[in-house]
Amino acid sequence: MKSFRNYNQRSGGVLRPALSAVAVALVLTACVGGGDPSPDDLATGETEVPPGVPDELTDLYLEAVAEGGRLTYYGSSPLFQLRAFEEHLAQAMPGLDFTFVRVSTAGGIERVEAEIESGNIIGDVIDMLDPVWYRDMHSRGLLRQFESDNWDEWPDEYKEEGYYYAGGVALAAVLYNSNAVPDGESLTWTDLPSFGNRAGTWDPRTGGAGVNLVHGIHQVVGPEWWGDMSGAGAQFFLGAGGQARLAAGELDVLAGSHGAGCSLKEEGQPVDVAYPDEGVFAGINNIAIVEGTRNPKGAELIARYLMTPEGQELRNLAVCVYSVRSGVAQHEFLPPLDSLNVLDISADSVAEHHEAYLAEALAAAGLE
Amino acid sequence: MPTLVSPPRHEGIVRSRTRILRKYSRSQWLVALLALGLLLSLIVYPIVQVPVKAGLRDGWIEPYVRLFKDPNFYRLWGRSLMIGASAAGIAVAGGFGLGWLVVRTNVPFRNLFGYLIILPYLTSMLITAFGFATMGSPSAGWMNDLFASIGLPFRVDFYSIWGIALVLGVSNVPIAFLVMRNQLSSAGRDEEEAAQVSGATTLRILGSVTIPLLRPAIGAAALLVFAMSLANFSVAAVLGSAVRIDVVPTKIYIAASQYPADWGTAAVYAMTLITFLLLIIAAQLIFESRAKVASASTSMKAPSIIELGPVARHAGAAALMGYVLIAFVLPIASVFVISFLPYWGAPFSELTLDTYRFVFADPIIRMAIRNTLIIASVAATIATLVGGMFAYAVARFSLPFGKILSAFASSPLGLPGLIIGLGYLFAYVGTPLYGTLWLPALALLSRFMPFALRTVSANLAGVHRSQEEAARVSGAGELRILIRVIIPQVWPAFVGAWAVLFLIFTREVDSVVLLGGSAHIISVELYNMWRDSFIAEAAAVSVLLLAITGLVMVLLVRVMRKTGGSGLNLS
Repeated sequence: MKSFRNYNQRSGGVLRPALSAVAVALVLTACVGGGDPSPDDLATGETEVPPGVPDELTDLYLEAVAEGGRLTYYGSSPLFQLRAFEEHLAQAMPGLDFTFVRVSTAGGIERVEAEIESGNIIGDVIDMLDPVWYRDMHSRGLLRQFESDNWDEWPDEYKEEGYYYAGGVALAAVLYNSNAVPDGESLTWTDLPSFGNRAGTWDPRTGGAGVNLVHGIHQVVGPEWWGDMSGAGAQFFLGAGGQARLAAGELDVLAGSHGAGCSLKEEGQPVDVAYPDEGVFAGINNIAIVEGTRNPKGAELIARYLMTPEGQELRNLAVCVYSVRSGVAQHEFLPPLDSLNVLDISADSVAEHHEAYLAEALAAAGLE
Repeated sequence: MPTLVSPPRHEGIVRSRTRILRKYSRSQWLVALLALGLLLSLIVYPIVQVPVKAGLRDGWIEPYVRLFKDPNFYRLWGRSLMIGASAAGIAVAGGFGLGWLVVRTNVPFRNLFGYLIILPYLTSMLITAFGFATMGSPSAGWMNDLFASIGLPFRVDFYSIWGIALVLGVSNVPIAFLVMRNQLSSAGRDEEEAAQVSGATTLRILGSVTIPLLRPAIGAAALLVFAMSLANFSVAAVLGSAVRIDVVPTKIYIAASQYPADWGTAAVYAMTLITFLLLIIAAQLIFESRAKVASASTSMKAPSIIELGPVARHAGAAALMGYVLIAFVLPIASVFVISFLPYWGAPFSELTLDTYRFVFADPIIRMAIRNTLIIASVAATIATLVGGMFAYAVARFSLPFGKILSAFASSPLGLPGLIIGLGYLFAYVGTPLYGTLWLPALALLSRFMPFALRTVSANLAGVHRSQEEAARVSGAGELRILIRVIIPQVWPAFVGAWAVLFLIFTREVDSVVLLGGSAHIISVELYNMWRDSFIAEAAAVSVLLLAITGLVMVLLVRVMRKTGGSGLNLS
C-alpha cells in the first residue's frame, strides 16, 4: 500500500482515478454483456417444445436447441418492424436465441459476400429484397438446400425450390402524415412534387425496394418525376430513412414502403398509406440459408417455419406485408391485393433494365 | 609530394553507405525496421488497397478519366472546399476571440470557461449534428417553432451548405482555441507592453500587435480545421445527404454503399482527397513550426492580463457562455429531450421511458456498447503503449531515419477516417479478420496512434537527460531507468493519452462506418439509426454514450489539471 501511495504521488495522483476508470469500464462491459443465455441454459435433455412450433418441425426444433439454439437473421425490413418480428418469433420459440440484424439490401449483400469470402459466416438466414442477387447466389452454389412440405404452396416465379422463396410482398406506395394531409388516401405519384421540401422519397441509388421504385416510376410516370421531385426540393433518403421524419411532421408525404407505413400506423403514429391508382410496385423479400452456416439446424428451422401458415401469418403481421401463399391472414390495415393496381417488377426486368433506368433517374434528379 | 586523388564515385557511395550502417548498432536498426514494418502494415498497406482493389474491380484508368471530365466532380469539390474554408474561418475567429478572452483578459470564470470551451471537441460530432438537425430542421426544428410562436419572421435551415459549415466551424472552435491559447500564453509580451507604454488602446494592440504576431498560429489553426472539415463525414451525412448536398466524404460513402457499389468513383474521390489533405497538412506543419519559432523567440514572462471595464468584462463572459450554449448545451439538450419522446415530433404530453427500455433491451445495441467498450479499451491501450514506445525509441535511441519515421507515424492525422476505413475494408475483407472486433480496432489504432505519439513525445522532452545519466552512472540498466525514472514522470501523459483515445474511439464514426459489417459498434449503430429515422432511439443511445464519455472526461480533466493541459496534444 505504501509503495502504491508513493507511486501514485510520484505519478501526479492520477493512478487512483485511472484504476477507477478501468474498473468502471469493466463493470459497464459486464453489465452490458449480461443477459445472453449460454448453450447450457438452452440445451437440456428434456427440452419442452413450445406450442407455437408446428408438429412437422418438432424434431427439427429439438435438434436446433441441441445444436446451441443460436441463429443470426439478416433482414432488410425497417428496424422497428424487424424488432416486432423478432419479438413475435421469440414468443413462438422461446428456447432459441435469435440475433436479428437490420441491414440495408445493398449493405447486406456486401456483408454476406464478405463473410463468405472470409470464411467467417455470421448471418445464417438472409431475408432481403433483391431477386437478382438470390438467383446469382444460387447459381454460384452459395445457398444451402433445405427440405419442406410447403414448396408446392409457392408459385414457380416466387421460389427456387429447395433454396429460396418469397417471404412476402412489399409495395412501394405513398406514405403520408395523416395530421398534415387528412385526405391523403387519394394521393398519386404525380401529386408528390407539389409538396415541395415537405415531400421525400428513396434515393434512386437505394437498393432493395428502391430498385422497384425506380422501375415502377419509369413505367407509370416517367423518369422526369425524379427531376420534378428534386426541383421541388424534396428530400432524398438513401435507405429506410424518412419514415420517422414523416411521423415527426418534417415531411408530409413520402414515397416508401407500404409495410413501414402500416407498422407506424399500428404504433399509433400519425402515418397512413395511399396506394396510387397509377400503380404500386411489388418487391419480393426472399428468404434463404447461407451455405456454410454455423447453425444449420436453427437456420433450417426458421426457414421452414416461415413457410408454414403460422410462420407466414406471424411474419406478415409483424412486418405488414402480403403473403404469396394463399389462405394466410393478412394485416387488418392492408387493403386486398387484388383491389390494387400492382406492377410486378420481375428479376429479369431488373437485371435487364436497372442500369439504364437508374442512369435516367440520376440524370433527371441532377444527382452527381 | 602525394597527389590527392578523389576516389571513384561508386567507392564514395559505398563508403557513405558503410558509414550510415556503422553509425547505428544492430539493435537500433532492428528497432527502426520493426517500427517501419508496423507503420507499413498499419498505414500504407490499407491505403494502397483503395486504388488497387477499386482498379481490379472497376478499371484502373476509366473511373479517373470519367470523373475528371465530369463537371459534377468539380462542382462537388468546389462545394466541399467552400464548406471547409467557411468552417475554418468560423473556427479561427471563434477560437482566437475566445482564446484572447480566456488567456489575456479578466473576464469572470475564465479558468472554468477554459475547460467548458473544449466540451464540443470531446463530444461526438455525430451527436452534435443530430442536435443541430433537431434544432434547425426547416419544418420540424424547435428553433423555427419558437420563432413562429413569438412572431419572428426569421427561420433557420441547418439542412444547407451554410448549416453544415456553421456546425463544423462551431464544433472545431476548440481546436483553434487550443492552438491559440498556447500562443497567446507565450507570444508577444514585450511587443504588447511596448505598445501599451506608448499609449495604444487595447483594441489597437490587439489589431496591430497581437494578431500580426500570431499569424503563423492562426494560419496553422485555419489549415488544420480546414483539413478536418474537408474530411468530415458525419456532419454532412446528417445535415446534407437528404437534401442532396454532398461533399467528398459523403460521396465516397454513397458510392461504397449504393446499389450496385461504385468502387471506382469511391477510389477517385478518395485518392484526390488524400492528395489534397496531405498538401494541406504539410502547409499546416510549416505554419506550426513558424508559430513555435515566434513563441520561442519572445519573452517567457507570464501573460499580462488586460483589465477590461465592467461592461466589457460581462460582455466577454456572455460571449463565452454564448458559445458554450450554442455549441454544446442547446444541441445536447435537444437530443436529451427527444430521447424521452416516443418519436421525434411527439407532443411533450407523451414523455416516456419506453425509448430507453427499447435501447436497453435491444440485443444489438447492448452488443454494440459492449463491443465499443472492448475496442476502445484495448485499442487505446495498444495505441498508447505502441505510440509511447515509439516516441521513447525515437527520442532516446537515435534511430536511423528517426525523423522520417516520426513524420510517417504522424501521417494518419492527415488522412480522412473514411478512407482509412475503406482501406481496411479492402485490405482485410477476405481474411479471417473480417467479422471480428479486430478490424475496426486496427482501423482506429492506425488513425489515432499519432495522438499518443505526440503526447508522450511532448512529455518526454520535459524529462531531463541528466536524470537518466545520473541513474546510468549509478549502475542502473536501461530497463530500470525506464521503470524508475522515465515512467513515473510521463505516466500522466500515458493516462491522458489513453483517456483521450478512449473518448475518441467511443465516438469515432468516420473510420468505422464502412466496417459496420465486421462488428457492431455503437457509433455506427447510432448513424444507422439516424439514417433509418430511428430518431428518438438514436437520441437515447446518444445520451448513454455521453454518460460513458462523461466518466472518462472526469479523469481527463484531472490529468489536464496535473499537466496544465500542455501534456495533451488534442489537435
